[in-house]
Amino acid sequence: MKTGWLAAVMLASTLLAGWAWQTEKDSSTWNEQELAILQTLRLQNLPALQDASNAVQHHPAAADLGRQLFFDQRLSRNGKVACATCHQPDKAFSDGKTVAEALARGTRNTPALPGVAYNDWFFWDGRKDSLWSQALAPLENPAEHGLTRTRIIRLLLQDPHYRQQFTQLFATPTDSEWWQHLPEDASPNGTLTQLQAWKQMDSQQRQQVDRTFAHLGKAIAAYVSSLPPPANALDNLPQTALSPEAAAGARLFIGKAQCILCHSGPLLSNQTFQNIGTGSLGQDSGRAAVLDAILTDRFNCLGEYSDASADDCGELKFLSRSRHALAGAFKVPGLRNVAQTAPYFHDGRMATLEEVVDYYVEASRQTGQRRDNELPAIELDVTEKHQLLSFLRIL
Amino acid sequence: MPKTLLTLTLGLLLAGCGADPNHAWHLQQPSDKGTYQATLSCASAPIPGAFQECKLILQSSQAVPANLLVAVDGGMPAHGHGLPTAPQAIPTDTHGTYRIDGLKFSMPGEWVLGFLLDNGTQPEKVVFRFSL
Repeated sequence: MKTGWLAAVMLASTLLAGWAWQTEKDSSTWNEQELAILQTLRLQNLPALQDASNAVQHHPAAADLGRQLFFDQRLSRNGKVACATCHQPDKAFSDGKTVAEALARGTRNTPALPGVAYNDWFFWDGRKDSLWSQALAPLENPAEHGLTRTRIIRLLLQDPHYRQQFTQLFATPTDSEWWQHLPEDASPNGTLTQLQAWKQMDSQQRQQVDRTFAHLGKAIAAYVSSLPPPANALDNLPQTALSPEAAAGARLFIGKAQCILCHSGPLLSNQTFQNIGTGSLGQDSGRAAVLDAILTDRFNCLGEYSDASADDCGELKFLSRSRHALAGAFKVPGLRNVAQTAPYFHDGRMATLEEVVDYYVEASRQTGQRRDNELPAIELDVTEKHQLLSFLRIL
Repeated sequence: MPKTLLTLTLGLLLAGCGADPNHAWHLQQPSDKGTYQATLSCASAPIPGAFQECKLILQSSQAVPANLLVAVDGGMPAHGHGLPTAPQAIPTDTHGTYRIDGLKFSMPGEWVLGFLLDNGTQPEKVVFRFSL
């Protein structure tokens, strides 16, 4: 993640190293070490939001255009699906469903969006390295918006209102009305017929479509970037008092339960991919399955439609490519607002936070051949589980 | 847990470095066959979550081969996972010094960072162990 809170994490981890765990203490007060660690989780530690690959990320007109696109159901095969169909504003921009349901039932749980722009990687398997590139994929996914690339561009530029905004923001050429000459349904990601239609377009035409498509993603990303991460009680510690049970849970979170090893920093995620035993052998290996796709993605940070210099693309340049090491690994989700974003895990298999905590304790007990995760030993009794849950609910 | 924490504390002390991220940090380690004395040197104490500014400095009673290939890998043995990125050792203008690009750590705890030093005939390894 774009850094800034990391020096605080360093200080906290050092303090953790010398920390004698105290189980019997007043829950309403923090010692110096506890407070230092908890304060690494404050929103104030977030760096400035900056995606170098999207030059219009902070452009108000781009965010306004992106907001219109985000809620526009015309951008779908049946005219009834928008980004907001699954990312519903009244549900923290999630949908409360096990997995996304648009034109068809998907395979992954819909993540909440506030604060998501700070992430390094997008989708549960991280197959996209920018928010704008991520925003493009559902439009062509047959189970989501179900459109082809040329149909999307035609829809956009035939609308005088959108056309005007694209022209002003991105200098999209409109004089020749080039989009009217595009095949109705051509896409490099579509059916064989759609792919053949795409191949029959000349390279300049394909490039113009891809560029406009990228601009569409950048506008949507500008809107989503305007959704700030939700504040919580941790942001004002020690002035804000937690309940005794939540305070005890906070101590477990940063100590015995070891949640903070991965759920660290202001977003409560270390932005990595970890195997907690939820992958499905032969069916869904998570991060390991998308490594080639990331590198060959024409809309990645190093691609021709990115506004970044190569120096800005460290995550992509130094991508870990070990399929073996990443088998079954999924992105560590941020935990802000976690109580409002059930169900949980990449496939929504856990309906409640109680089930999540129980899962971690049970999975961490696996030994020998049965062990299919990288979890450290997590031992929590019933009281401690309740305390940890109380803390999770205030995030 | 207390044992682990004690180990972490000792790890920091043995590393001979403070935890102040504003100060340079280094570790020294001989290669497994003893040909090289290796120094892992970072602009500041390594921290989780950020790209680190580190270099590997090799010294030897013999000349460090100009064609020496240096590969980097690492991880957390206690957690069974590797580095979150795939760093690269890039030769610099200073003979025997390699810039380590793309190095990141994902969490506090005990880490190993290893280098394979391959001169084409007799590869050697050097492994650094430290705590974040």
